[in-house]
Amino acid sequence: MIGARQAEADLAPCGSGSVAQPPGLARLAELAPAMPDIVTGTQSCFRALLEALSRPGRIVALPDAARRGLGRPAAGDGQAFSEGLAALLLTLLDGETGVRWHGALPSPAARQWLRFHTGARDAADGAVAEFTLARAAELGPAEWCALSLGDDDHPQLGGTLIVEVTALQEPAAGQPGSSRTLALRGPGIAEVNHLAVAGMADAFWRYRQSLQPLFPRGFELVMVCGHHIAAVPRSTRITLEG
Amino acid sequence: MPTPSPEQRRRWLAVLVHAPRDALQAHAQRCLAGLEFETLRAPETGLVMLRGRIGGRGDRFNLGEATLTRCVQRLHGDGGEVTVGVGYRLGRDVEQVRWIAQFDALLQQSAHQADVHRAVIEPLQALITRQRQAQQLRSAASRVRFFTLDPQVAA
Repeated sequence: MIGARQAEADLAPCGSGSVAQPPGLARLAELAPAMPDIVTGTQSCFRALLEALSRPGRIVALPDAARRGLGRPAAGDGQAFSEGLAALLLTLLDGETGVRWHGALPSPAARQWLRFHTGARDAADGAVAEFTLARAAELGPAEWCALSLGDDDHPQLGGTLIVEVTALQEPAAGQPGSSRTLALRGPGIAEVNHLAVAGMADAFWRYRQSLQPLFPRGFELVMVCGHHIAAVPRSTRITLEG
Repeated sequence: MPTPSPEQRRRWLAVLVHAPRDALQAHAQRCLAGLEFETLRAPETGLVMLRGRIGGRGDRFNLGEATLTRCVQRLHGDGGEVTVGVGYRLGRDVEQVRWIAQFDALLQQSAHQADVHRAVIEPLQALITRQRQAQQLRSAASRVRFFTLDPQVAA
């Protein structure tokens, strides 16, 4: 369904030298594109995300169909969104999902890019945000405590947290790396999967551990590094190593 | 020519939307051939809710849903001018909607506006007016006059 409000946003004056720009909106003339073949691209990205969620801790590379010609907006500090994050946003969001994003990510250009290509809106204060976005370095206790966990009758209201991390690695067993290594157990894992994540605070993992007894309440975590993604769904039990 | 006002854009978009397909195609093949457009939103088909007004106070009601196709194209002009054109049209003809968006982007370029307006919009406008008049003439021939309602006869 094409929303009338979005039609108005498209028809707003654009191009160089235009007047009466809505405040906070970058101009359409500078908007980054989405994917050249949006259907194939988002479907293959969705397949990769399913793979990551069903095998927690396994690192999945985005297929070429999702990366070819992918447009990425610039964050507030001028750095472009990672390929994985841009592709996931195009795949998962639509006009009925609310987003809460933190730190440098929500620049005017990024907001307009998301609004134009997906129709998603910022979640209102106090409302449930289906998706929360942040970079690992900018993710603090205030942000992760605001994540929706759902309730026992409606666990589907639990949110999804998408984090850009600085490094993701599957370490060989018993080989300590420089990043924090997680040992993951639970559905989708034969025995134990190890995943090394750089840039996330230990306090975050401890918060995540404290939610384990609450299952089926909880949130899904998707980590993005470049065009690689790894996921830790709420059903996975974590222990910290290294 | 300066940046077009929303009113000007509305007028030429209305002409492009109502233009017959073959006429628009002929103009598109002539005017848009050598230009490089960037697709911001590929043509996509969806539904829009049509709303009407009803009753003495004009309350809104939902008439039904209609199929609509839309498209957004960006054009980088010779002088570094960047314009974005949109096409919205009832139906599912993706090619036609792409032409509309491309013409809209081209018409916003100050270097091309006057030429394209003269070469495309004015002939299409004339064609639409001619077709509407012919239609009106056809239906006028079948008009029935009810003498009983004519005030002079009734008196």
